[in-house]
Amino acid sequence: MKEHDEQDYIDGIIKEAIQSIPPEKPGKDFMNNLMKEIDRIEAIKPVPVKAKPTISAKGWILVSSVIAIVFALLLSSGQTGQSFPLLSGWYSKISLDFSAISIPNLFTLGMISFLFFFVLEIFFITKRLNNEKLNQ
Amino acid sequence: MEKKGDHHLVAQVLEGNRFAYAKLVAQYRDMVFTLALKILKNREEAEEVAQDVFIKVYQSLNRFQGKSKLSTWVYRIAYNHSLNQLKANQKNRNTGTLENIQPINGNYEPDAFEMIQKTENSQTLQNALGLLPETDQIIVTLYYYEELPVKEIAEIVGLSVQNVKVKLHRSRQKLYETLKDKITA
Repeated sequence: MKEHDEQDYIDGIIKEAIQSIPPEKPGKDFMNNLMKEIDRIEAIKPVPVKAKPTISAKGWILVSSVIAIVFALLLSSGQTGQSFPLLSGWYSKISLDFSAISIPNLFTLGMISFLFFFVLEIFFITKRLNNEKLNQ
Repeated sequence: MEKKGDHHLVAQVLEGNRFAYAKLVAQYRDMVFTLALKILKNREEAEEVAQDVFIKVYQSLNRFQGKSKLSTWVYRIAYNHSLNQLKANQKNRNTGTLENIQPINGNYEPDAFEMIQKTENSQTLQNALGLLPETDQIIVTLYYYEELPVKEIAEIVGLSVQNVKVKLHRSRQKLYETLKDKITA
């Protein structure tokens, strides 16, 4: 019991003595310097870039339309002896004979493959560029 | 000791309010500087470390999960950063020793504290504190000045609760012996 009281007594002495000493204070300019440094860090901090598709929705509609038209023309021209009903009148007006154009199957296949890889590449390039921007 | 409105200030800082961060710094600035100074024993270095600590806190605030108190988190960063700086300095520091002090024998002075107050107790105590190992100084400061519970102090200095209690007990005895000697001399 006596030992416990003694420890409490010592504890009280040390506590009051320590609390009577004010904590150390840094220099007057500490806060200003710190906030300036934080401002500097904030200024050079890259702003996170929101991932944005390279080709917009309108762009995709345009590309899809072009592809669709090309395919329609290719398919219609590939059928010997038949004319594309919607375009036949237009052909005659501008006096062009598209039926004379012959598209080989290999070329068609090549075009399809090219378009496929083109679209695929855009997807990967867009993703990679966005990742690089975010990691900067 | 959790300062008032810490969570509110943290939320404001995370929203980009730098004025709120200045308020937060003002709450912990002196203690962080004191801890750094106790370890490094050089005001300029301690100030640099304190600045680095607050920059680190600012940059990591979004990762603060609130599992521990903000004060515990800030002091732990300050303690670790100061120790790293001390190691980096690779200077020979003579910290002195209090090992020869005999354990307390129970013949304490009943009016010792009053006597301490009458004498230049601050300087005496600071000298006595300065003779303790760095970690013990930190433990004593956090326990008596910041009145942190032993569990939080253990978290800050990376020791077990039991270990902190032992160090605290030894430091207490050493300090008392030193103070008592000064008073009775």
